[in-house]
Amino acid sequence: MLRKLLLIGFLTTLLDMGGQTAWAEVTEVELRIDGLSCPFCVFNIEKPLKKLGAAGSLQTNYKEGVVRMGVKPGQSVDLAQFRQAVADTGFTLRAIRLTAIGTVAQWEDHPVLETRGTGQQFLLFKEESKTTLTPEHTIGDPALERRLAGWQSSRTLVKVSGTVHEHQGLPPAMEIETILEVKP
Amino acid sequence: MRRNAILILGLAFLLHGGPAFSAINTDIALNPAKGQTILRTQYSRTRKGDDPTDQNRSMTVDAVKLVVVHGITESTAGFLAVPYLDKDLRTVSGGQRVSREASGIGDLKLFLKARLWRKDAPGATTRFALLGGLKLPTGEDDESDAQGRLPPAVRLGSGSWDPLAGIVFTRQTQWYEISQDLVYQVNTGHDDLQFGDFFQHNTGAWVRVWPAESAEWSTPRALHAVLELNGVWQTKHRSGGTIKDSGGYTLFLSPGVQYVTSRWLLEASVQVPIVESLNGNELGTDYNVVVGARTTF
Repeated sequence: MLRKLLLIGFLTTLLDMGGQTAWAEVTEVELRIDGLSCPFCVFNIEKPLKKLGAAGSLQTNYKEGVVRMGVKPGQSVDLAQFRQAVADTGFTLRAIRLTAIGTVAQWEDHPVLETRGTGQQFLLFKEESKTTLTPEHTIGDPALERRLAGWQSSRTLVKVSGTVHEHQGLPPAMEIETILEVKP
Repeated sequence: MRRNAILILGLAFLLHGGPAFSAINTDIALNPAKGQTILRTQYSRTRKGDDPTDQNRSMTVDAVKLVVVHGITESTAGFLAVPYLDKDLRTVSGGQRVSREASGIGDLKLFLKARLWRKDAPGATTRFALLGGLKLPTGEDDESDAQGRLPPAVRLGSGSWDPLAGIVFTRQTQWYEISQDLVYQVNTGHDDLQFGDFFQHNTGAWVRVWPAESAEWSTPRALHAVLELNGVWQTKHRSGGTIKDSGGYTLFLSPGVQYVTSRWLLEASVQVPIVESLNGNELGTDYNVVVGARTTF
């Protein structure tokens, strides 16, 4: 069941990257943007992002085409707003990478990050899971699965960073790049 | 003239924002985002001479141009170009040195640019767009002096509503840009005079000469070395029949420089004619010097 859901999710991600709103408590957002080819492109892309209510600090890595936005404490983040803001500037949004804090929970037998405060869920997986996904090993990394199960049972607060993919009818999924236990 | 020119330049500089890219001697490659406004101002001095007649004519045109570009949608932009002109034609008539002058607002240009295609990559973008618009008869076209009605070359406007259309291609990376635009303007005529149609082609390129490494987490700045080829071809004017001392083709080689930050762009260019094929006893262009700035908000 879960395997099918994830498969549908990946397919719909490819077909439809817009539309769904993902409300979450997130501490940092990184937008990887194609087309930033001149110094004033930095101004062009930062201007609409600064207008977003959640925007705190804002930095742009011109060389790499990355905009890093700190999120104001207690503010929710609407991923659709980022997509729209970048589309309006005439650039291309390649990827969204989030850093979020929350606890590990379950959604349809699959580990999710349930963010602190808002309860927004992110399906957690590793890139390799696209090929090694099994009903027993939905993350694709047995060691990580054991750690997640431990954190889930102990309600430990964790901080996860990773690229986000939006799905139709499913919670957004996050490819785990780093996951750390947060000391209270 | 000088006071008005300074006023227009001052208005442009008072507004804050970031500059926009494109070549120096063409406006239509400017690309604003949706809701963004780009303000560009340029001062230019054009000197014409090499009179093939014994009238020893020479002409100086000082111009301040203000261009406002607004992003209507993510792929459509509206352009308004307002020139302020000061023209001075000097000639010898009856052994006397005569100056024929006009100054004021010239003909406005209003046009839309629609981007049809875009391909972005990390640090690079390639775009293709169409444009269409109108030149409005806002410049004085029937001014006279003690010698009579001013000759066509000195008039500030043509008096006619003239449609124009063109295409624009740009390829820009953090290291270089190439751009090509082609614009044709149909001159419809007014009263007893129809100026010849215009065809302009502009090929622009810049390379970043500084810094050697792109900025990462700091405000980017860059110095560009610019080289353009700007061609202007015009058919002969008509007044009853064709006017033989009109029309022709000039191709300018235009080296220049741009300094760009995330908020401003300063630029300068010199246009030197390398091909000049004019009809009859027309004055040739000696040079055209352009300095300008761009900002956005």
